[in-house]
Amino acid sequence: MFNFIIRRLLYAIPIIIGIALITFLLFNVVGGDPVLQMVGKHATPQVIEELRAEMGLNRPLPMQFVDFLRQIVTFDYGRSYSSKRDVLGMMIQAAPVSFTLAFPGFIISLCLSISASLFVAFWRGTLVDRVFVVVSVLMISVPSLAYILFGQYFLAYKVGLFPISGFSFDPTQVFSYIALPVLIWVVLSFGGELRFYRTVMLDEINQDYIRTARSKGLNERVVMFKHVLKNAMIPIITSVLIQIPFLITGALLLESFFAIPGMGTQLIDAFNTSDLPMIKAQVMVFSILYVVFNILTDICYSLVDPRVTIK
Amino acid sequence: MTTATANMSEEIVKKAPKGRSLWQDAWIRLKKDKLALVCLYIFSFYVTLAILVKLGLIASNWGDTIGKEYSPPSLESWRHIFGTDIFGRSVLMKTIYGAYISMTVGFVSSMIAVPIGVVLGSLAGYFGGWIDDLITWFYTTVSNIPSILLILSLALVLGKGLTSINIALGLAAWVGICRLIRGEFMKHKEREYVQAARSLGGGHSRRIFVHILPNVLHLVIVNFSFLFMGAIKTEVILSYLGLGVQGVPSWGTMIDEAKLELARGVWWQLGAATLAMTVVVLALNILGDALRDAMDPKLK
Amino acid sequence: METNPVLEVQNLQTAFKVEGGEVVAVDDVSFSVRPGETLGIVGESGCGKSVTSLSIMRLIPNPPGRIKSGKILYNGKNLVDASNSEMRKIRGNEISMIFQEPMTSLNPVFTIGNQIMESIILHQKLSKKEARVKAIDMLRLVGIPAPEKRVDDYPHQLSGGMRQRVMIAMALSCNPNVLIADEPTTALDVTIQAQILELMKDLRKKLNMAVILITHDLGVVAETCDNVLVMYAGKVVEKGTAEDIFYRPTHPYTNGLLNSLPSRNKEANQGRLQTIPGMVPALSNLPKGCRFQDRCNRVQTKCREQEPSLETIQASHAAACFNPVKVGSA
Repeated sequence: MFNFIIRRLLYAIPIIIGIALITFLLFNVVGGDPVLQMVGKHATPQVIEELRAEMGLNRPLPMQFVDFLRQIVTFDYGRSYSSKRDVLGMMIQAAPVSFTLAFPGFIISLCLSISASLFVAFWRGTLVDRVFVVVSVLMISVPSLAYILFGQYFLAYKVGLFPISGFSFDPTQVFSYIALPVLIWVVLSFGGELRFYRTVMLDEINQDYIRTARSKGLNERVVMFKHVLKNAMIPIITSVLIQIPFLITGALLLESFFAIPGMGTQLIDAFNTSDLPMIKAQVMVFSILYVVFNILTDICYSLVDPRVTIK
Repeated sequence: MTTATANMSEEIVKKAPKGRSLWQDAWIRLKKDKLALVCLYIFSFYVTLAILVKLGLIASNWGDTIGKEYSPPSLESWRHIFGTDIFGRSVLMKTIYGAYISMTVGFVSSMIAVPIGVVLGSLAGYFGGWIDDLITWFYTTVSNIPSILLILSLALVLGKGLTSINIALGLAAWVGICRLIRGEFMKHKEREYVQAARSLGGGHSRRIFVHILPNVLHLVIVNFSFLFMGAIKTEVILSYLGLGVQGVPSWGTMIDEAKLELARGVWWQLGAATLAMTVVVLALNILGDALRDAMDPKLK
Repeated sequence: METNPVLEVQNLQTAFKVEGGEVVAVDDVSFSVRPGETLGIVGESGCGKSVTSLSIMRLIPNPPGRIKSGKILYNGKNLVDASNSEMRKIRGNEISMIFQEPMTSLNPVFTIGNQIMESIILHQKLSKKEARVKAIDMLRLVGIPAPEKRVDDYPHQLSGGMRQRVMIAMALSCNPNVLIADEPTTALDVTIQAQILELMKDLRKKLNMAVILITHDLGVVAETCDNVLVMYAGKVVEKGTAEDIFYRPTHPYTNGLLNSLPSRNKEANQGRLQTIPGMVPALSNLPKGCRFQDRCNRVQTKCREQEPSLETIQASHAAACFNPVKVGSA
């Protein structure tokens, strides 16, 4: 097990270097001179030159890349162009805000869609199944922006059930602020997740060992919740774990609509102001998280599936 | 006895269904699926609209003022069906122009993603060894960057506008196809027919392009509709965020404008863009599923 | 000496819905088995053998399949009308089944002990501890070495033959009166096949079960069965005792099957194996008349017009053919 983790971590190194290389090429080579973007067109060449030297941009590209790698390893992503504050500090500050929204949204939609998929799989081939399939396809076809706009306009503005936007960690207020975004989150993800989990469940139901379980005289409930679900957990765990690093970016639109000062809002601001240190930091941090969660997925795999042995 | 057997087997041969290719078979199965056919027609309708816009035959005058600002949908003329926007322009015209943008983005970005994915996937799957290691490293790297971040970054460095959106979406979407084609090539290259081609002296390129590729291409078609759909959805988000098309209407910018209009009770711009997008995404969704079922050789 | 049959199937008809219609996979099949007796059901793949067995268990996936008509009498009780909960009490308890694919028929994420204990706990109301002891006993009975250790193994840790033994242990754990074995040895090596068949024969005697053995392998039938049912395209074409079928085959299909068997001393073969030309017709596209007509070397005009019915030849021997093979002429 220990060896496996070490091996996977070693394998992750070239991937992370690759991600750094792509990020570096994008912003330092393809994107042109960051200084020009910073100071605008009217700066004097002298000012530009000074800034370039200050930021290490007058050095040869390979050296700049090494600098960037050092930044990644030391978690020192520099200061934001717009707020002049430490980028990583800003992200750490915004992360709990994002999780306050993302965590309940994620858990609720997960529980709902998995139970719905078991229900639908149980009624496979019947009208119930078809209604759910049609509804889930309809739900994923409506643009996510429309849900958000409609929810905000109708439920918050017209009916006044929720505050229109804003956020606070105050325990008396936090619930009312995140309630509507969480609700919309659940609606947004339910259709797609139901479709995915339904396919997973149906794949399981058609397996020979499910027939064996029935031939033993087990009732449908035991067949579904014991034999089907435990096998279905294998693909489910993979998909669930890998979603976690995306939870924050997934809330991008929701955060910006409801003026929730999380990482999603931060990211959109960074792109709107071409705040390169912030963008680079976000790309690197989320990509590394993704790599880490990939490894975690493999470990969890071996815990659920006895066929996978890690040596 | 022998002649009897011969006659018999001849008769059996006659009775056996005629050999059809996977494609013909898939088409026949697809034609039976009425819902999928309707979706195909809907999609073709959008494509036709887009071509007409491209040729300048319709919606080229989307910027004309046709009435008062924010006049609600009416049957006054066909251009008033979806009402007007803040400048009194026809929302219908803007929606049609938005369809052109969406179709272009869907088509061009898929046309960028598919060749990259197919070529890299084929090379990796076919040759294996260090080529495979290199390509696998490359696509694993790209797939480890959350796609929305990659797309936003590409769109940012390439500058605003339709072309850069196309490239950004295309460069972010090839990974799935590459992985798929690589897997299929690895399966197929060990199959008897490819081995037979090799024993007959077929070179690498012949084996890749003549023998294996046609047998895995149907997967690309199925993927194409999902790529197309993903591109439409992402373009709307990008345009909404202000990183998309500039100066011309798109469904994303329409929804962005609607954000402020809603408070004034102006819902038709949001409604028109949402409706137009929902219908085409729905059609592509159903079509993609139907294509996947129709082209599944296991169902034969 | 003659006991009443424990299971009797009368005019069973099972159909599946397909695109644009219905296909009858099992048509008018009747047979019976007595305790301690083995009935072989023989035929090529797709002839309705497995559908027959799944119909008895009422495990036909519905939709698209359903039992259209007929009776399945288990100790006089008609299973076709039984409720789901009644069926659950019978499945795995009074009638058990072993499936063809030992590789995929066991659930990969549970230990074999867990899977055997499941039906013991369910039907015999034993505690977990007692069930575990019983599961180990069952594993010992089917000849698994070191059952105390093996009971905690997962299916992938066992070979195919071992898994099939586990399937048998599972099926027999509640002392069923009827065991349906659907191609139990097809996926196994020849030496393992013989072991498994020997084991089944042994256990049948010990437990006085009725066994329905479904197979396409006539060699297996010859070794184990008392009575034989030959099926072709959903219908029974010949039935009789094993001697009837092997020494006095009447239907050209049975005859063809026997001639396609390699034999040590069959001079008629002249060292060559005979085959039956052609393929089984699609059930959705059956010819008018006899279903075997297009592959039959004794086909007559009548065969293309009328469908023959099962006609008794001798006491227990019956065949459905207008132009049967005369004994000795084969």
